[in-house]
Amino acid sequence: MEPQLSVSFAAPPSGSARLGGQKAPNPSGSDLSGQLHAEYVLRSRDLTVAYAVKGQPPLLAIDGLTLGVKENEFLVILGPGQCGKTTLLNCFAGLLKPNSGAVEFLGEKITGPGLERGLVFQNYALFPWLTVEDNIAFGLKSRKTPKPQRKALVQKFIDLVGLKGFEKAWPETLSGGMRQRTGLARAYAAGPTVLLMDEPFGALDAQTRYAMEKELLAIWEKEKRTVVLVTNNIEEAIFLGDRVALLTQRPGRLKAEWPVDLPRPRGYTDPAFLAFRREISERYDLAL
Amino acid sequence: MSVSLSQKTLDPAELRPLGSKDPSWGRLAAPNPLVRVIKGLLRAAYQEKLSIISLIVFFLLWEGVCYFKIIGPYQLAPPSKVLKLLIAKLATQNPDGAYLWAHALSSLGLALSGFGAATLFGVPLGLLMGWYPRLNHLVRPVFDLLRPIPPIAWIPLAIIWLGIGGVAKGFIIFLAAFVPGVINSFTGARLTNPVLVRVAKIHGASDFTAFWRIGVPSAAPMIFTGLRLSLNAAWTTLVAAELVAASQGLGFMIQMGRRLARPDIVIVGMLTIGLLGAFLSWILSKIERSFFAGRAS
Ligand SMILES: Nc1ncnc2c1ncn2[C@@H]1O[C@H](COP(=O)(O)OP(=O)(O)O)[C@@H](O)[C@H]1O
Ligand SMILES: [Mg+2]
Repeated sequence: MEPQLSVSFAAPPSGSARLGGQKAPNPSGSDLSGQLHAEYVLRSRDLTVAYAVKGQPPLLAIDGLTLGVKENEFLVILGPGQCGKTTLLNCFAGLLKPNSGAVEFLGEKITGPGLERGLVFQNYALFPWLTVEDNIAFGLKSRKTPKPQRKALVQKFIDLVGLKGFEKAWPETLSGGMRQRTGLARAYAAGPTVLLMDEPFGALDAQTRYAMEKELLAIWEKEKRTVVLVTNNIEEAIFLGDRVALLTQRPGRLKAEWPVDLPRPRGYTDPAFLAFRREISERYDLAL
Repeated sequence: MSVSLSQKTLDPAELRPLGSKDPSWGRLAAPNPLVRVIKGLLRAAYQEKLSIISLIVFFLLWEGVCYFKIIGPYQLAPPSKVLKLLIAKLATQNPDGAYLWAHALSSLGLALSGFGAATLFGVPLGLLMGWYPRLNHLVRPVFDLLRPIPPIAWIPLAIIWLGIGGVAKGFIIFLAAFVPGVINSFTGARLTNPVLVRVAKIHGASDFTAFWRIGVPSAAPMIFTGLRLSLNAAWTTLVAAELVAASQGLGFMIQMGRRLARPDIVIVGMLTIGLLGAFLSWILSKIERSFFAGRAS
């Protein structure tokens, strides 16, 4: 039986509890100086989310999660499958309404999607009827950025993610890695303060995945943003994060948190890396 | 026994099954001419040659049936006569009152205006119904009630309401073309990937913007399917609509042929309808292909 959403975000036609749009407090997106009066850019407080399933008690996906991310911090949320990672990101993105508790952006309650929070999807979610550059320009068109400026910005992010020469390509013709570059550029181009990434490399093979992780860090060093990335992969978490937050099995609760003090670039086989990996593995709930 | 690893080329004779003395083993068989002809024919069956053969046989049989008066001249005209009339009708208005191309243009105008109007209203209606459940709940019952009524059954009412002019005929064709336009656009919008809608929302799109920028392009392939079926329905209904009352048009021409006991006129009319219909579908598929050009999948 199909589970029923208690809060509708998946249905394209009008849903029951759609959230209203939220204006971007900071249209330029990147520069937060002087505006950052809150300690955290993004934060969940006692966040609880449950899905209504027909004929069954509500399915608790996240249970009382308090977690914040600071400006330009790379936070990795690590957790086993089905533990509520996507649910959490959807709340941050404003696509899903918490049942209790709150999600806040710069100390203000999030009530809907906003261009200041960009989302990168596991399965890329590119628009198949648009070329790479038009996919990337999508958010800029929403912002009504004038055309010359738009073109320049699109080109900038195409160059940044290494898609030069693929501007006119159709998503279907691209490899997984290239598609995710497009997804990343699209998120970047909309000018977000925070980048939310939902297992962005989960669909890639191990080699491509590793290459893309390195690439992501290089991009992030050039264009610093606050990042919340979720993954179920311990190595990826250690390789990327400034901080790793580990969730329990469903319902997702915060199980442990570590700052990652290893200097970048980190090697998968460095002794410190391996020691860290062992420490996290010991706490990691397996979802069987 | 040691195995030699050198790249010695095998003598075909060595491949002969043990005990077989057949010398043709391992050699390319020299095919005899009969086998070659049969094989060629079989291959033709997989290609289009056989279709041409079957067409030729068909026309020969048809011609023969008329030539030997198996079917009388008031029942069937031979293809040679049909072809002659087809050419003659380009330059003569006799005996049915108009040139062939005038009939064709009249029919085309009628079918395309009915199809155009149906597309203009049907596609947006279907898309909006697919996107907004409330509109769907509102419109759907009436739509479902009227849908199973064959367009031709509307003819009497159409005459009562609109007289026997072109409007009544256009109305019948409109009804025929409207239904597939609505249904397919509806399905197209309905099947929009919800994840893509979320992407649009993330990028600040309102519900209507998401409809316009995500729903409509997602539905495009289904819209085209609808257009094809719609055009088909319009053209199919044409003859029936022109039976209502007309002084021109291919349906009228057929009708005249029957009254004049001229099967050649009937057949020329039928052939023209068929050819034009195929031509219209071809144009639409060209448009469709150019529309999706590059969007390889
Ligand atoms: N729309 C939904 N309706 C009902 N249950 C859902 C829905 N979306 C997710 N869930 C359930 O909520 C739990 C958490 O899902 P999710 O956030 O997607 O986990 P993760 O991303 O960590 O794999 C899962 O058990 C999943 O089955
Ligand atoms: Mg997930």
